[in-house]
Amino acid sequence: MTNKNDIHQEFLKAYEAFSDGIFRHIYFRLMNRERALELMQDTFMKTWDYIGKKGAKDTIKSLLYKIANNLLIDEYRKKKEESLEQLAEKGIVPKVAISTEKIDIKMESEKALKVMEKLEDKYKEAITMRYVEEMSIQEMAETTGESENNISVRINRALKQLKQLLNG
Amino acid sequence: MDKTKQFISEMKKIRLTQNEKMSARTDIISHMEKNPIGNTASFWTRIAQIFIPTQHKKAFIAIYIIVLVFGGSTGTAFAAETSLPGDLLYPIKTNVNEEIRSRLTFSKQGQAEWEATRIQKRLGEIKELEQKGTISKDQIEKIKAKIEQQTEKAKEKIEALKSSGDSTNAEKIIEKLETSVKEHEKVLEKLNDENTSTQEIKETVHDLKVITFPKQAAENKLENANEKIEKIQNFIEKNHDKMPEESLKQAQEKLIEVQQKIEEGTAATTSEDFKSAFESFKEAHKMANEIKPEIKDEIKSEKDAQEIEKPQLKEQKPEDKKAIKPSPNNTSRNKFSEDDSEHK
Repeated sequence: MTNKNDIHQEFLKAYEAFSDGIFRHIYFRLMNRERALELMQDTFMKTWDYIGKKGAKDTIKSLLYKIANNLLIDEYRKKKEESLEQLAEKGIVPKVAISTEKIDIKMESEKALKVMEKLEDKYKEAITMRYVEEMSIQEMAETTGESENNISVRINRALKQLKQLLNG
Repeated sequence: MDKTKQFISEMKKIRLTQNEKMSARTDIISHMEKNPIGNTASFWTRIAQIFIPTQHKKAFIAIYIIVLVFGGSTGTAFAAETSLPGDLLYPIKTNVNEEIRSRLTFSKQGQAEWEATRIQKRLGEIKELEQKGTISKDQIEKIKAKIEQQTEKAKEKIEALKSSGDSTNAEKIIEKLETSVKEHEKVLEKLNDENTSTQEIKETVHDLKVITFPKQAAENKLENANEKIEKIQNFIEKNHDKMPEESLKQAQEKLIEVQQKIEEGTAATTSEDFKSAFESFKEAHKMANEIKPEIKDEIKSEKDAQEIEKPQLKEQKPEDKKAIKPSPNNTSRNKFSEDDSEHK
């Protein structure tokens, strides 16, 4: 009846289930695989800490995405404050240099990523959460704190822009 | 849309490599080990403020001392696991350990199952205390309050599971809970008296079924009521020569009333009002339950009258337990039947 093991197991189950999703979510926003990996890891560790300190009112999935989004916001802020040289030094690659990511990406995926770059951030978020992570509108509302209506509207607009980018 | 679909399927292909996944996992695990939750003194201080109401200050202080002495080892959380109501660590078990587990379970099914398990744990605690022989009225009341709280939580999770489309598992969870209550029935009956109604504990759990699965609950209750009617009819047949004529008439009239109630319920079923149907069938069952003891009363008093050679029948009230020969079915039925107690 060791409670400690129970808790550990449950959390690791969540890792198995959601690590890919969280990684992808972050990756599409940052376009940097290494950094996305780091932030994915941070997300899980911070979620663990959060649960330890405050418990969790939401489902683990919501919580993970919330924390991931917060980390992304921090990341963007850092980017804004830094000059390009500093960025290069830290290894955070600005959107342009996709060529470093060629390792396991096929030609078509590369094109997809290039398109992703051009999408507005909020639209990126809408499309990845809805269609890649296959979250329901309700889950998305829970995670982002926005109304289901706003989210529906945003998804439609995102799809429109995506179509334009793909066909143009 | 074709290009969009293709685009999205390309995006889905991007995932972690096995190595990446494993390596991150290892780092995360070591973080978890270094920052255990539920065990450190600072955690307990904070958690105590959130989870443990001020009435358990004694418990909090005791834990603080234990933690200081043992340095916040896993001992405390583990020790709490086997505690019973009245123990100092009991609130830790229910309000901290179990709560953490609740928060961490992420599937809807897992959550519903866990909350139901917590109710079963409470029932088990009653049994343990009873076996020890140390159970007090106070403790029963405490557990009863916890069960009511817990049932609210379970109801939420079970309804959530149902709405997410998984009625089957939701039903399974309820059935499991009902079985568990049946298993503890003997202990609950034993402890049932005027001051402590463990009957209400059974009611609370049964209510859960009505709220989450009103149709099934109504069907089950109809079955119960019909079974009862059959039994009574058999009983009357067997004993009608022993029964005074008035009593026979009364019993038959009552049976008609019961049948009317059942028809009410059946009508409600047709209009899909399962909650009302359940209530009607429950009423019918209750009314039916009163018939047999009344008859037995009359028969006994008939006998008594004949023995003492008094020409008049004594007026017996149905609540007059003492005149009835105790039988396993009968003892509790006069106060409450299984599904009988007053509605809140």
